[in-house]
Amino acid sequence: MKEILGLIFAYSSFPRLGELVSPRTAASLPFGGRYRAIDFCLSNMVNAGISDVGVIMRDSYQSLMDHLGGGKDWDLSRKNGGLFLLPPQSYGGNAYSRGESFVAKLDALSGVYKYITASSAEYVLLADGDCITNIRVNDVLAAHEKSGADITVVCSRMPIGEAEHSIYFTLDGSERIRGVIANAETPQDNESLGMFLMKKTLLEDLIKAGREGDLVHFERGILRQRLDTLNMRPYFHPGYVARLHTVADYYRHNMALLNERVRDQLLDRSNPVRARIRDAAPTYYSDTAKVSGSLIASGCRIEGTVENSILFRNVHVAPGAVVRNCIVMQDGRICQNAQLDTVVLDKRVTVRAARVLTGSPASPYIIGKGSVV
Amino acid sequence: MYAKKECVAMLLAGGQGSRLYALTRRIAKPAVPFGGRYRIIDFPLSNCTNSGIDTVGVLTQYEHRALHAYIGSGLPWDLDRTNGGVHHLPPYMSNHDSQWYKGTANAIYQNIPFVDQYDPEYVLILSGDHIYKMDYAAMLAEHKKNNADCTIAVIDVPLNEASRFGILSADESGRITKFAEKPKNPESTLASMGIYIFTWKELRARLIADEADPESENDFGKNIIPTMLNDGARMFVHTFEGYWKDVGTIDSYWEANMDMLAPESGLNLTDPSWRIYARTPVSPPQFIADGASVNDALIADGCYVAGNIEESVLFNDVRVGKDAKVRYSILMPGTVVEDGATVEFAIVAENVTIGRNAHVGSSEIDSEGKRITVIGSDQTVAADAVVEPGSMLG
Repeated sequence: MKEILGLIFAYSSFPRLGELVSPRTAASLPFGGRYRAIDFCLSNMVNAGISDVGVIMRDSYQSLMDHLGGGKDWDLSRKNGGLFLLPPQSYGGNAYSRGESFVAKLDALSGVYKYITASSAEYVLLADGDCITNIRVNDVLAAHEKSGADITVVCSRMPIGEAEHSIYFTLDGSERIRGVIANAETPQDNESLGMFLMKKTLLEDLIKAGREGDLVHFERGILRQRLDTLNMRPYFHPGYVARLHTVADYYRHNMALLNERVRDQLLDRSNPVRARIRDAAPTYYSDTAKVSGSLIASGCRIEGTVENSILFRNVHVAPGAVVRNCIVMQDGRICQNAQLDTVVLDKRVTVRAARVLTGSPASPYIIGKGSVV
Repeated sequence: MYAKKECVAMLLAGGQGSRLYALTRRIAKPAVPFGGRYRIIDFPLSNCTNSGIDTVGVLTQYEHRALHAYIGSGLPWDLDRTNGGVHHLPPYMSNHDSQWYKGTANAIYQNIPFVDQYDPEYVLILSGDHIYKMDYAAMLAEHKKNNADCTIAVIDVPLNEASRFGILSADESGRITKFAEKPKNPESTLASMGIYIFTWKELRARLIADEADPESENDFGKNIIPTMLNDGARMFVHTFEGYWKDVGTIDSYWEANMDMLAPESGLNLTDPSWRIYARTPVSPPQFIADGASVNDALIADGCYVAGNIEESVLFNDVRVGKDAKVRYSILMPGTVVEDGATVEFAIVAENVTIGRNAHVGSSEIDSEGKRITVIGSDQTVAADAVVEPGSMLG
């Protein structure tokens, strides 16, 4: 197979994710019981044989560094290549000589230009760490080679994300990209999923041109400038896609995993999603446990009622406690007779005995990391 | 070339485990799955790591392929080290000699050069047959304090069971005065756990002498230990308190798995200060569907449960269909219990399919507990079939 360098943008954070992103970026959000958002795009890359992956970070990256470590759990701890964590001051360069961090994608790429040029890969695959989907990168590569495009962009025909954080494309009759729409008021068709495949030499040219033209944006900057000269084509990905822009998005997409069809797509065993290994014991269900319609990670101890919920690793639900329509992140403690409905508990939250907390799907009750309520 | 190690562990993992029948048909006993996500050998390996022993020779012989693949570089146990770490030691051909391991002592004798390269003061001898959590560092500290030649870990057993074990008598200082292998009339209830620490210089000389004796069976329990005791060597007991179970028979294997469901059994694998590590498959979280009921159960990643589970242990990637019943059973990785099937008092090995409405095992076991049904790996039980209690398939 062709050698591909993977580059993941893991610095995005969206204000409407509220407290969920105060300790972390969107790419580092816990998802689906045992994953972080970035596990999906990392696994997509590793499953396609990509063994060189750079992760571009900017702020609040301790959570991400802790999660990724040396890359062992994704088979990316290698003698040659492997996982490279790229914090903002990695290589010096333009923005950094001014003592500033990058402000957008092209600017970020400019900062790791030396990392990109040092790679011997023929292709480069850019991806957003906060876009959750299960995709076969080799299918994208085959489509790219068949169409003869200069750049192939993975897209969704229908809108998924919030308009203010999304990029949409307009296409001509031959499905070539002819326009880039940013800052749309309302969601549009042909939404970019942030995954771009191109020759590495082309990306290097775009970065250089961006530097010369003082452009910081990728899609609405350098790509918009090159619409006439570059053959850019969408690859429409039919699978389930989750983009996490708001608390409601976070809740809705997690809950979608309770649907077997969505689970089969996102957690497809034949294109497995790898996560950090934690050495938790199997989950224990006591004689008082009542569990149904729930996705549950290992290391939990369930003595109460759990319905239609997602439990991450090492969660304890005490006797008499009722957890309905909830997302409980790692190390949660729900004490006796507490009742939770439509609540998102961040990591290491303790809910005291007999507390009653209720949210709604449009505005789930969020309890911040480490709180005792 | 190798830096000196104070203590090297030698793990005897060559046993066939023939009393586990279908469960060890194609894998060595230490590689048999246990407790929903572990293999038996995870216990001594994790104990080594947690005790600060980072050099472990694993002596393999019978069906060692799966065991070698499982241990690999030792990464899951933090035993992938540049100096030390885990070493696979199967019997091999040298240019002057080649032979199978004749006995436990001979297995160590054949690996004297391996131990010598770390120039250790002490050697810890372990087996891969038991489920327990033990701090070997505490045992080593006692060994040093006693200036012992040999320290044997012992556990107090009920008098009526003592004749199944190697039984030791010791004086007030813990010095061993007598050793009897499976005595008819035991004089003590201190049973050897098959865990020994030797001062290497002493053991090395003993192994060479034992090998030269044509009458010897080259076994620690039968030869090395009785001889040392006769010669007046300084031998002490190290008393262990806690959960310890031999899982060498179908019944004891089943009971030990069930002990994980009973907090009062003393087998707690959720203690973060003494984790049991294991090589983990990549599987999604488990899904408990609407209409399922799950009680007194341990369930691992990747399972899908739509039926009823009671008093059972499910390893990773097991599927239990609608209206299926699983009671007092152990289901190993990849096994499928189709809709409406019943599995009771059974051990079902890996990748077995139990067809719709089939019935495996009985709803009760007799007072002797001798009616556990065993289905070996990759077997298929046809729809509507009945597998009689106590039978062994595969």
